[in-house]
Amino acid sequence: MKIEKIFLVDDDPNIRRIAEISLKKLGPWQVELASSGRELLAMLEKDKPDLLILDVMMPEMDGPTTFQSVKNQFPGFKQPVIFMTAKVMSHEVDEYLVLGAAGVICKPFNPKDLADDVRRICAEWESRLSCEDAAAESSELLVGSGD
Amino acid sequence: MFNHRVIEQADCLSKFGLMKVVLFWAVLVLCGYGSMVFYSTAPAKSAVTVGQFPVVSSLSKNSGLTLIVFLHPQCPCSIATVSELKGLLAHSRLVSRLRAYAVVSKPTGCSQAFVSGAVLDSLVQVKNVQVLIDDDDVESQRFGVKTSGQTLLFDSDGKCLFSGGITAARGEVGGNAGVDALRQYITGGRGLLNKTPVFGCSLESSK
Repeated sequence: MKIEKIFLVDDDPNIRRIAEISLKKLGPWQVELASSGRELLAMLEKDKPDLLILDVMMPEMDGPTTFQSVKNQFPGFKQPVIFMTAKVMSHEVDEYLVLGAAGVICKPFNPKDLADDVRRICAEWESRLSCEDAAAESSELLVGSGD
Repeated sequence: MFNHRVIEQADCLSKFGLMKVVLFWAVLVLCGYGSMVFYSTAPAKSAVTVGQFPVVSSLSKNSGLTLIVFLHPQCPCSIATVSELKGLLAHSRLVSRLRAYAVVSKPTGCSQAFVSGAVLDSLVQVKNVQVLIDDDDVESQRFGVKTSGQTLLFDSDGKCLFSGGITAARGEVGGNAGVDALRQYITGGRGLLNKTPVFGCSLESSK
């Protein structure tokens, strides 16, 4: 998949700044920032990114709630969503993946590695999608041949 | 005859005047150069070294070694420190038992624009380092740091092993005692030095 534009949501302005510089310099991608889930939803009304990076712990609307709101309000939005969090116990990561996240980036992150982590997660997400598509196609064929 | 002598005298005076001007200019140049050399090689205030890793800090102590570099985002000397840090942390073999932080000063009342620029741009390209923006200089105060470029190394018990700068002079990239000492500590040896002079802008003056 080709990434050109990323929307990044984090309530901490310092993390937004460091992540923005890192993604712009080492992507290099166009990055737009939001400080809350609500701000993101307003941004999505006007424009759609190729990738969404969401902080998990945010006041008012946390990352998973924001993700759910995105899915409800923009059902056509099928781009990958990455969570950024310090909560990376295996059961927590599983929860994010069950929600439909493409992957998780551990906080605090090394800015130098951020762009590579994003690329890796997107590549994994893409191959997962193509596997699922292939599985769906073969099951459709099986059902068709059964008829 | 009279005219000739007057011309000779005037010529002599103008030569003497020119010599005085040249001498004055040379003295000025020498003074300027001297003060530049003095400024670039005069260390700034070093940290009031904390013997131990502070109990309260947003930075977390590693089970191995913890390296912390404090930087002023607008100090031109910081670029040299970042360059030395990049060289030090480039080898993953060296950093396997090390956690490194770069703490960028953001004094009270300063905007995000203050921290943006060449220093932060170069920091995001350094491997194996976590970058933190130090709101209100809280962390630099906790660690007793007063100068950009100050580098601290702590062992697993939180004991400070090294405190100093990692450049040989202001803005100078190249071999220096600070980096050599840190490399010795990181590779498991005993550093020959536990202190080096710090060359950088004051973190206090940016407030």
